[in-house]
Amino acid sequence: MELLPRILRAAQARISWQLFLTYLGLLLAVASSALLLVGILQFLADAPPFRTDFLLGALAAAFTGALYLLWRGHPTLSQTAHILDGAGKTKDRYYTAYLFGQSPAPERMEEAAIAECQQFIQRTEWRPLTPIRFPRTLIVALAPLAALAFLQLQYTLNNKAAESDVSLQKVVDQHSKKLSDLAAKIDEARREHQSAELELLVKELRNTSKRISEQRPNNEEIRKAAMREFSSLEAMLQEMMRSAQLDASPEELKSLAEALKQNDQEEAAKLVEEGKFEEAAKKLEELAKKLKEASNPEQIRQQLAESMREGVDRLSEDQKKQVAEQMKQLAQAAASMQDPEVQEALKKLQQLMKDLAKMQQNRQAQKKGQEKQQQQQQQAGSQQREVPMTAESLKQLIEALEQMKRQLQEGGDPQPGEGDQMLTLQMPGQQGEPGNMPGSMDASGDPSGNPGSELDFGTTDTPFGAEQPEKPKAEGPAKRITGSLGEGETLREFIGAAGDDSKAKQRYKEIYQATQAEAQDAVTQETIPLGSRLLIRRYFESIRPKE
Amino acid sequence: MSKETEQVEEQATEFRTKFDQIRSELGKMMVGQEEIIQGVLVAFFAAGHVLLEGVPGLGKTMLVRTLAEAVDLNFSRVQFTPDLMPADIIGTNIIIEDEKGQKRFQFQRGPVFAHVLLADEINRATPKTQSALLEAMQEKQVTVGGTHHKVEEPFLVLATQNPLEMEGTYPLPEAQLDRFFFKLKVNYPTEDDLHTILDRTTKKEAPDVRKVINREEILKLRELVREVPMARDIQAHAIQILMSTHPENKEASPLAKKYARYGASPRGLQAMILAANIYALLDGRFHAARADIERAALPALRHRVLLNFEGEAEGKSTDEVIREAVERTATTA
Repeated sequence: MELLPRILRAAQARISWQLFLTYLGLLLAVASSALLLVGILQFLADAPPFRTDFLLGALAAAFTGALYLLWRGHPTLSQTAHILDGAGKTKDRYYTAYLFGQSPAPERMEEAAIAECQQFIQRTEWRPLTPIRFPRTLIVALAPLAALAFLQLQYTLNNKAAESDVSLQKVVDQHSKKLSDLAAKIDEARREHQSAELELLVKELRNTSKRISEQRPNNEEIRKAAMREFSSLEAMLQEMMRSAQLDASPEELKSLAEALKQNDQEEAAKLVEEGKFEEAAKKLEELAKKLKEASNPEQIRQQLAESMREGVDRLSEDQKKQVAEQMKQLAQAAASMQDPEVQEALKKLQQLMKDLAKMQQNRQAQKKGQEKQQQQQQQAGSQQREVPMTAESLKQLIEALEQMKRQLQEGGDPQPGEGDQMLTLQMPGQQGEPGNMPGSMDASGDPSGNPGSELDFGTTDTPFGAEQPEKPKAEGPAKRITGSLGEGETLREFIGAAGDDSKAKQRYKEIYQATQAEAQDAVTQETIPLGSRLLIRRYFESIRPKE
Repeated sequence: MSKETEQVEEQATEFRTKFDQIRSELGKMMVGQEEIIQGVLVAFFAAGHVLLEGVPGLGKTMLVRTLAEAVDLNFSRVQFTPDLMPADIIGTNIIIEDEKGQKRFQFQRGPVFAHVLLADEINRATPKTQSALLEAMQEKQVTVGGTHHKVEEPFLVLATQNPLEMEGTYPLPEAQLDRFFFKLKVNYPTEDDLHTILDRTTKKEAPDVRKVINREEILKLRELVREVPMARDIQAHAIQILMSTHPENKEASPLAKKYARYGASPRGLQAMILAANIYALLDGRFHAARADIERAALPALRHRVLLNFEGEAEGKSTDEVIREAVERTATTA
């Protein structure tokens, strides 16, 4: 009899283990779901979804909960015996032997029962009746954890992107500061030379600096905005460079005029000041003649010749300031030119002036076209600015912009012209082509013809045609179809009815169900002969509605 | 092992032996129908009565007659007819003249005083006649002219009901049905069984039934059946099955709630317990188990659960209700 209690205690331990694992699996599934929910909330609040302290807390809570549930619901020995009997189909031998064994004085039949049960228990292996299995709920618990891991990965990736956003923003802020510094330098030059164009350039630089330093939602937006601004600024500066090649800035013209004045060429100086290069060229031609006839110091002549040559050679490459300085030196040394060199230099200077005049004419023609387009764009509400060229600052600006663009180009390929507050420029060759500018519209307000752009309003207000389609008529009078009988057989059947409009108020099934209880009471309460009750039941069965 | 335990084991072995012997003798005369034979024997050793339901010609009368021969007990058969009177069953007082020439009443015993009584087509008799028999079944005595006459033990009534020709019959009232220990449904024999029946009954030689047990042994074995212990939880299991057949009970099975008018009575519980004890002894055990209870549930309860009108109209049977009750209880145990 000692065997049974030992077996029951061992089985109780195994069952308790299995229960603990089952509870643990269940609670872990609940805890992991809770962790996932918290992780989602954390993720939405832009905080790390996975936290070690949360996980440890959930594990501890699940473990403690499982222990508590086991403590509350652990099986007693009699319950263990029931479990063994139920699992092993032992005909309740474990429980019977345990229960009868508790009796201090079992009856003879009980003793026999105990003996028989013990024999059975001795020859039966009980361990397979209490297997310890891996709870399936633990697998269920893995799904939320996997989702949580994914959330954490996503958060980490977003964090890295945010960090790169921050670093990129720093880079852009640095460039913005550079632009601001450049603007400050140019502002100093503007104050010095009182130039309206420089003032516009300074303003534009500052605006650009401000725009690119604005906070963007993500890395891509930062990059796009900066590339957009730099591209537009670069294009503007390129245009200014070209204009600088065509137009003489007031400063250089002034210096040239000063130089000419110093060499008693006031008229030429005046013409250069006024930008009348053709006439200035004529004057310089006259100067050349005079120089040919006049006797000047040789040194001055050499300097002038050299200066003129170098100036002309570098005309296509240099900035406006160097050309102007060359011309200034040229003018200063005009009196010291030797005859052949002077003639040659003067010729080149003439040619320079003529070229300048020709290019000026072209430039003026372009200006007219640009002005016209500018008017058109102004009517459409876009902003176009033409900023005249400056000098070295333009070169520095362009170099700086190129450097900025190189830095930004690592992360993507932004589309120039996208985004808000875009600077649009009238590029050469784009006169009278309003359709090429994204988002632009002509004066008539017709669509741009670029579907998908922000300002594209489609091609028509009635895509399905000007006239609305008629709705089909759903109701109408019944039509009688007439015809004639053929040669085939016809079958006619006339069904007499009580009336066309007679309809039952209630379904038969409802009536049957409503009266069923009363019929049953009538059958049981009425004094019906026993032999007739069956007939009555059969009748009611026959009238029962078919399902 | 103690002496008493050995004694019990011997008695249990003897019980199994006798049971098997009687079963085998019955099997000589009744082909197939193993469940019916076992059910009749279980009811016999549990001191209960059996209601057999089956179409004519399935060997019900043969079964009872053979049983009476095998257990060496008196046998009588009553064919119930609508004009059968109670006195035809229980007996009556008749006037006799003694040696001195004086007339007096003498009680003439009816067929109910046999040990084994076959009440054929009990549903054909009037309720009054039925009640006379049922009183004897329950009280183990009859009252005639104010005098009680005991019926000698063992007393087994096997009543039959013909499920056909129910017109003009008087089905047993529910209260009377409750007095039967088991209700067994005799099914039609299989093709192989029919071959065997023909071989046995249409040949020249008929099988011989020998007596294998006497009255004293029967009474002793009946006492042994009542000694079989049952654990409390097993009893609770039987009670739970019974309560599941009551529609007003919150633990009732869905079918019982929908189709049952009345659930089984406590007599059904007693029948389940006693039958479970016998099944345990036959299985070589000395204790009744839940499996024994579940095995006895159907024949013990099927005639004690009453269907309502809806259940009868939808053709439900009490067997379905009881099977569901057993399954639900086994699941929740």
